Amino acid sequence: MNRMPPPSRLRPARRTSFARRDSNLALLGALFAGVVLAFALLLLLLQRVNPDLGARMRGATADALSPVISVARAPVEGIRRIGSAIGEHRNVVAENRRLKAELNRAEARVAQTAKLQAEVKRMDALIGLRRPERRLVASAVASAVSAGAGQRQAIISAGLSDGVRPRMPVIAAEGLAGRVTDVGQAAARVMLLTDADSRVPVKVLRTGWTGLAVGTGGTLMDFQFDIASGTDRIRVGDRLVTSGDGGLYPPGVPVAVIVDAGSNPPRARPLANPTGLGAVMVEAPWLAPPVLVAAAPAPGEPDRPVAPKPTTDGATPTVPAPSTPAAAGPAAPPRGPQITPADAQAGRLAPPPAGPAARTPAKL
Amino acid sequence: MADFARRPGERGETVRRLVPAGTVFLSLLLMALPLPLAWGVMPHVALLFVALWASIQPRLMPAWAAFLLGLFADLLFGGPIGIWAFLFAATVVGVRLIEASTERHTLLFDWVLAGLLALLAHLLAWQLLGFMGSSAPLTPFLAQAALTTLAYPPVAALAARIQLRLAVSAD
Repeated sequence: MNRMPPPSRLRPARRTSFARRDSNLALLGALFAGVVLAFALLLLLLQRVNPDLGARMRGATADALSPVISVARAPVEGIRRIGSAIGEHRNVVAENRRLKAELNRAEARVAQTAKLQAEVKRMDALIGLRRPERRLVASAVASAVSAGAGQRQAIISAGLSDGVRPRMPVIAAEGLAGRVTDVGQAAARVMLLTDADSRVPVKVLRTGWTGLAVGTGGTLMDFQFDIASGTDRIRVGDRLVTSGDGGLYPPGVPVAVIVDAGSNPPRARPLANPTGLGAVMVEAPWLAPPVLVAAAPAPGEPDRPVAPKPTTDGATPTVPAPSTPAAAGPAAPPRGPQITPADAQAGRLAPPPAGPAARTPAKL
Repeated sequence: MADFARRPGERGETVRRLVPAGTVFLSLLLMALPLPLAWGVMPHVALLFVALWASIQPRLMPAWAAFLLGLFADLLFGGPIGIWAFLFAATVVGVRLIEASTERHTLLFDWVLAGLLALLAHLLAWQLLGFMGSSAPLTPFLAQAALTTLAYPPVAALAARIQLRLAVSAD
């Protein structure tokens, strides 16, 4: 870097006879560079106006990129597998004991769950509940792309020809992975949970509090929520599952586990490791967007009282109509002129009346 | 030394002209690899190469070539198309302007300059992403700019080696 490059054909020594031509060329070059910059900005502006413009091109790149990445990920994946295999061999006995104990507990729980499931099904039938079903669209292999700052994406090996469409949720073995953003013919691009633009409606499994798992562009996610209880609080190890709000992600899919409850907002680690997703499922959006049709509003049901004291004249005693202060209702005190706070605010009482009658409404 | 460099034929010339763009292309592919990184942020090697080639081989890294490479970067990274196309081209223009006004090149000076360029580029990328409707936080961009600055000396050494071979093969 800090030495002059030797003279070459590519960068000929400047001669005076070519000075004018050179300066002309430089001017042209500057002009051309300006045009290129303006074109790039125009491209951005066009996409700002029409965001779908870039989606098809990005989908096509996903197609082209998919084989490259599947080749390139082989050694990376291999190293990762070797590392995890060594780790597993080192504590295989302890792991085996732990798993046996867990299996015993799980078997007891399975029997309980089966009973509850039958109960829930019966209840659903009883109240005529329509429970939307999750529908698998495609299974694919995913591999993360660690590219730009703040962007966390993966390429999956299923695309338009497999029925994959943008917006569809992508679920890995350990939990939610993200959602499809662009599709190509045989590959698709997935926005991972940790992407800075990712927002997943979740709830805390233990407390039922709802909130958003917000991607930060790093490895952890923020859990943004409204505090719903004064006595309980988020703890380390609390699991976040999808709440089903918004209708995109099916409810109950594991998303993340809280690793830092002290910070504000609490930080959570996604359960599906973004760099080792492996096989994933692409599902249809949980709830289809409603197709609205014109329909007459439901008629009132007079035989079913909703309030404890139904009023017949329609005028409520607490909010009198400002135009008729004299007929304010039966609940107003029957002394002096009727003065209501609404009147006083509207400036209807031009002369300030003296005496106790003017002050009494202020006590109401 | 590659064989093509010895031959004064047409093919060697074409290949040599494509070498700077090739390094940027390869480093973009490298950045897109699924590497298990701690923070998930790679140094922006491609940006460094664009700046370096614009400095030491300006004829082989014109603004339009940087624009095309940036377009490829945008497609590769899956962001809005045009962000890195604009920033790569702007980097070339910026480096040209700086080259025109400065003479001395010490490593420290170049390093500081590259760091400032990387910081500026990432801040602009963040701003442009915000303009395109993304709500990306600033921290990853700053982290990538810092990593890019740290990666400057090895990348510059690599570019200098390639440049030497280019110069030798041109003789």
